[in-house]
Formats: sequence, C-alpha cells, structure tokens
Amino acid sequence: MPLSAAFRLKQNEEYLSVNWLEYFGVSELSGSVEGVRQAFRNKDYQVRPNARFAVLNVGAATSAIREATGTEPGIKHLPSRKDPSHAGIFADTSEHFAIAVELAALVTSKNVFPAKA
Amino acid sequence: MSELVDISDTASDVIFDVTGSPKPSPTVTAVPWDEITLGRASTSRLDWLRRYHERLQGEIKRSQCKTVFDPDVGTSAYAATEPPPRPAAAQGWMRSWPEIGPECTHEAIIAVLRWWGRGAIADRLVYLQGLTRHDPDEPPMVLGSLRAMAHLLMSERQLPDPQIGVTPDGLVQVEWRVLTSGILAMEFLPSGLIRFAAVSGPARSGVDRRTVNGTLRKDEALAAIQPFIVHP
Repeated sequence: MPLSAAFRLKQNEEYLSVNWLEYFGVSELSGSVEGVRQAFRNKDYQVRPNARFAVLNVGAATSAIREATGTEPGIKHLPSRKDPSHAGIFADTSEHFAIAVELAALVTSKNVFPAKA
Repeated sequence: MSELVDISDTASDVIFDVTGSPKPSPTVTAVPWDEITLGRASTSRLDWLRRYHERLQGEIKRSQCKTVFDPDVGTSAYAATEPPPRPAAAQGWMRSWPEIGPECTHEAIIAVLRWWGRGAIADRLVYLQGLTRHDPDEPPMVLGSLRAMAHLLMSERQLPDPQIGVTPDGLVQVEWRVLTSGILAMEFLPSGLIRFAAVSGPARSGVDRRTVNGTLRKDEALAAIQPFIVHP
C-alpha cells in the first residue's frame, strides 16, 4: 500500500499531478490505466519496477480534501501534447500533510495498479 | 471521473542492502543471545550472526556514537518483531548498548536501530538511502529528522514497525495502517517537533470517524495519537 508521502506536493509544485481516466473513453479500467502508462512513456518518465498507480474517485477525493481543509479543492484538466489526460488537484498546501493522509486512506489493494505493465 | 495518481516507491517489498549486511530473519531472531554466548545454540547457521555482531559493534564505535550499558534493555539485538526481552544481566561481548548522539551519521543511526531490534526498519532505511544515491530526484534524508524518528522508535518499543518513507523535503515519515482502514502518519521535524495526522477510516459522507492532526512535541504528539495506536 502506498505511503501518504506519495500524495505530498514537491517543492514548487502547485498541484497534485493526476490523470483523468475517462478521457480515454475506455470502459475497462485496465485500458484507461494503460493509456496513462503510455502517457508516462511519451513524457520519458522513469518509472521504478515497484511503482504503482492509485485510482481514486473524484467525488471521494474531493470529499476527503474538504474534510482535511474545510475548503473545496479545485480539480482541473491540464492537457499537454504528450499527456492529453493530465489533470491537477489544487488544494490548500498548508494542510498538505493531512490531505495526503486523507487521500492515502482512500487507497485499497483493489484500486492500485502496477505503473509498469 | 476518476483520477489516477502516481505513487512511485510505494512499497517496502523491495528491500536490498547496499552495504551487503546480512538480513536477520524471524527464525534467527528466535534464538536467545545468551544461548549463543554460552554455546548451547552454537551452529554454523548462527556463526554469521556472531561475526555480524562484531562487525556492527565496530561500525558503531567507528561512528563515535555513545554506547551505554543499560541493564533494563534486552539482549536480543535482532528481534525484528518483538521488543527486546529484559535480561538478568548483559553477558560477555553483549555488554554495552548503543544510543544515538548528536554526532551520529545516517549509517550509525541505522546500525543502532538494527541493534535495538528494529532490523526491518534498518533495512528499509538502507534502501531509502540507496535511492538517494542512485536517483538525483530523490531528496536526501535529513539527519535531524532521522535521529528524531530513531529516538521515538527506540523509546516507544511497544510500537510495531511502521512503513517508512521520505517526504519531498527529505523528512522521515512513518506510517501505520490502523483500525480497519485508517492511517496514522508522523513526520519528524529537525527541531524535534512531530507533525502527525491520523484518520480512523476514509472520509465518507454520513459515516462518523475520528481524525486528529497537528504539530507537537513528542510526548504531546504521542498523547494525541494514542487512540489510533494498535499494539501488536
């Protein structure tokens, strides 16, 4: 299972980088995840053998962040040429530790997928 | 709409020891040290443990960490899953117990943790240290944060081994999955303060749950998270 540190913002990051799975228009979740793997390859991202993707429901993530911060997070589609499904979660970074824990609590073994096929 | 979040380096399942140190196993840890020293359990399987112990002692001395004799501390340095037992007296070459002083390096602190029976944690820290050497994007572990984490785990021996990670700013973070689906996380600031957050379960509308978060001194933080601590 992922540590909540996986959901922490890095220095100078304004948002938590995510991908919008419905963008791919695929009914099977595995197909959408493969689309994200391809986007990572397009961007030449180095992915460790034990890296994982976590799939979160937007409504659940929004609710969790609201619980931690008392404010509504912003989730925006931020497409790029190499990664048209790219999106970002904008939230109060002063509360990022509690936010990360809330998001990590949403992850179960059922919604985690290998980042490398 | 679903979101996919990259959670690289999530697992503690890939553990390697870049120093080449042998990894204690639960089977080995079950053998009491006094039996080894008295020769009653002397087998070839245990010979490496004695050699390892001698090497570890050397590493700790070289790092100039303070060593103390604590008669209340157990003799099993390798009990990965249980706090060390309380011995009647330390024997022979198991006489002194290392502690972490301000002059300790990362490697020395990891060695001391192993000595105090936190072998799995030591293995994980070695792995995380290795990441920073091989990946320039990985933040180096802040020494003061590592020291604070080690102090907590050495003083609170009833705590089970946590998952361990490093935050983007290099602070050591420990985390436990607690209760049915909750999380207790702590990160250690070099100042000695502990930032903590805990939830008894995921946020769901209409479902009561407990949450706590803040930044406090060690004793205050431990009191705040007490309802979330599950003893093994």
